[in-house]
Amino acid sequence: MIAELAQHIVDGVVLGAILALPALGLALVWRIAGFPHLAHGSLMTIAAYAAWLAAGVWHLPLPLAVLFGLAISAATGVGMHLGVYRYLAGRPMLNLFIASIGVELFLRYGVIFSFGSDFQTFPLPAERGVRLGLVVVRPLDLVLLGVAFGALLGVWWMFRGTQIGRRMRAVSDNPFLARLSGISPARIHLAMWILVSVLAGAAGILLGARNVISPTLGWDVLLLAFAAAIFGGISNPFGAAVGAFLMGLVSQLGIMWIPTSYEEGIAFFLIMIVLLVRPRGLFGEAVRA
Amino acid sequence: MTYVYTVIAFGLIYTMLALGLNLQMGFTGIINFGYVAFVAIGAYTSALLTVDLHWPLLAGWAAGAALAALASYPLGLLTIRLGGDYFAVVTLGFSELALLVVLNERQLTHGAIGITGIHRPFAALGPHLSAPLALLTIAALTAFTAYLIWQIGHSPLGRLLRAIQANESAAQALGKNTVGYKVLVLVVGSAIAGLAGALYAHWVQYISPDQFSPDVTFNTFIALILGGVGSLLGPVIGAFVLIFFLQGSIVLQDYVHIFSANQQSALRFMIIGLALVLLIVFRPEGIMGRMKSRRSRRSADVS
Amino acid sequence: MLLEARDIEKSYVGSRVLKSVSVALKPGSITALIGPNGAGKTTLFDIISGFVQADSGMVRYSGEEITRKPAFLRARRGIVKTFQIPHEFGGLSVLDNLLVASSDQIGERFPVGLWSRRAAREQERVNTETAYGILEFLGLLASREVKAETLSAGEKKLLELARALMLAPRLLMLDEPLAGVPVSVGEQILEHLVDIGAQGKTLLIVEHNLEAVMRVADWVYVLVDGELLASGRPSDVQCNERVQAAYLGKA
Repeated sequence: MIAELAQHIVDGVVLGAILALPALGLALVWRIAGFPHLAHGSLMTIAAYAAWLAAGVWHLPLPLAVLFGLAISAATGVGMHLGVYRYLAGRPMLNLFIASIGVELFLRYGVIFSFGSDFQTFPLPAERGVRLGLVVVRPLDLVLLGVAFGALLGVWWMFRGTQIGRRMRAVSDNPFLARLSGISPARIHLAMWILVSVLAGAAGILLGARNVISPTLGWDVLLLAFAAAIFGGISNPFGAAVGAFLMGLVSQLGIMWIPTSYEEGIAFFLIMIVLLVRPRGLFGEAVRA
Repeated sequence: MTYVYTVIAFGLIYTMLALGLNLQMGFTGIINFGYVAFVAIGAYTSALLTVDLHWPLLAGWAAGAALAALASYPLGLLTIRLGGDYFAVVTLGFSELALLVVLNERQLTHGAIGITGIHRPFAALGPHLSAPLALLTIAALTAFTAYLIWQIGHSPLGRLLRAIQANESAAQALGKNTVGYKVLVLVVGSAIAGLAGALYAHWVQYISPDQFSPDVTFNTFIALILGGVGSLLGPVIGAFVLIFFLQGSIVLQDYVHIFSANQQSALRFMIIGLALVLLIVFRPEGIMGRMKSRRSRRSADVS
Repeated sequence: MLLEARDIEKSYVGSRVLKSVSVALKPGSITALIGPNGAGKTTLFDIISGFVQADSGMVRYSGEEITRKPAFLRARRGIVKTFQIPHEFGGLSVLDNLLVASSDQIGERFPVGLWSRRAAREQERVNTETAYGILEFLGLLASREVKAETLSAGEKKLLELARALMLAPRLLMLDEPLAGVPVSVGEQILEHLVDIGAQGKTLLIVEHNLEAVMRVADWVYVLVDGELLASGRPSDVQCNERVQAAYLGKA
């Protein structure tokens, strides 16, 4: 029982680390571009397929394949922004919402069109779990945790140490004030889309390496990522990352009591509970009229 | 001939779906991304009651609509005051959950196998008579729904709903229970979705979980936006354009063999996604829309 | 007293916006709430109208405690507010903006309104007459058919006022009725306010334009940094040294 619990905790932390990347991105998009981005899962999926294509079909070395995947997801994100969302800035949220459904459909079925709906796996060396006390840890999970934390640290550094990062943070803290202070929105938006696409792409590749690559890889965890972002409070990107670890833990621990087949439904309950108990999230600011 | 009937029946059912969504999104500005959940509740309720419990058909339909409405009530009560973006995410989650319930509660819903042997209206009269009569029934109910929506649109209630969409706090300051009205609209729209789901189940006579994926929600959005959000005739046109495209491309599949069947069906959804994006960017008022929504768009910015 | 707010406290993340503020409005009076930006005027205003909940304190209206009542119920009881930035229903015509406001409409009930259409029509006719009267009073009658979003800033302010009047409020609360309005329209609005006050309605006005406030108000509250600095007749408040130092001097 305790071993099982410990195992679930490990799985939860790993899932949380992966989720943190798209959750942070969702919070940034929600705050800066002003809508919950429904095509975020596609960025994850596309990166995973691109990396798989490079590694599994073209037989490129793994690091190169990962870079290729990230480049493709960054290009996709920039394409979404420049090709669609940019034109909708200033329109009611509903427009952006629906456009992002369109983008999601286009990309998801674009993936199915190109790669079929069969599952794929990365050509990774066979690995053996390492026993650490009570739990068995896959070496891959350690790599994965390292990458996820590295990415989060990178974002943290970017928000502190670079000008564009500080500006992005300012816009995310207070979109209205930032607009007044004359921060150029065009560059912030572009940089934001590159950042969140790379983060989502990294999460997609990690998830694909850990499980399998499928056309709904991103979509399947999108709601959990949303739950994390809402839980952390969308006004605080790092709150979203913290929220992701909690969502990862809760959803993995939930499996102990809830049938596995309902795993994806946990996200809904988490969102509901978060919204009802603390509508602006754990780290969100109070509503000010 | 059967095929023509089916195309028309689907067109009518999507019309009904678009009408319900129009009440929510077009009139009141509620963004319901879990719309398909209420369609599924209606379809499954009616199918299970008539097949497993041998209820009469009309009772099954009424129960389908009622249960869909009933399910939306607590959801709306709990979440509709949170703001449109949160509500959209919550409803999306709700529809995923509904799908999981249908898939997993096999004892109740027959799981992934689905439900077979659902009766068509007038099935006793034989296949030649039952199809056109069933179609007429669907047409009559769709017409009634359209009439109801038209009535609401031209009543002080419709005016109030548009006012709530334009500026909710102003409506509150004038003594309107805006949360109550939004819940009401959610419930009525869900009842319409439930009825449409029941009609669908009894037309195709077989339902399974994969028929109620979020794609149904997205298709309804397309039909509505195609026809013009907030307009009264728009949903009819949008729904039929959508169905002609969907069914037409299936027919085309038999004659054009450039891509595999899988690729062709993927291509269909890619086109739908692209169409949605292009519509929103270039014609948010819909193909048939008057320039009306462009102005209300500006007023929504103020709020 | 028609309305009393007592010991109102309100804080937002770390900052106390209102520190034990009490105000009282005499029936039929015109009361002004003045103070520099960020003094907490709008917050107090919203607490009285029900759009914001106070942390502590209580609001009493014609003998009944309404501290926890939602905004729409207060509006139904006769406390009607306007917004500083006009909140018109843009896509609706000016006349429809007023008709929406009419209270207790049969045609708004569901589903009853769908079949008792004759009663609804009759009520609509009466409401339309009322609306015409108000539009004429405020000089908006000519533009009754145009969409509200096409009005000028000044006309939108008048529309706010007109819509509020449709509810025949007992307490009319105006949030900066002169802000963003050309001087000539401002004069017009002021005259209307005096007329409305003369009809026996109670008015509470938040306003920056001191000179205007002093002309129409019978009683003035000065709010600075969330505290009530002074209150009294306009002439007394104007002479108050603390007020001059804290507010008039700066302004």
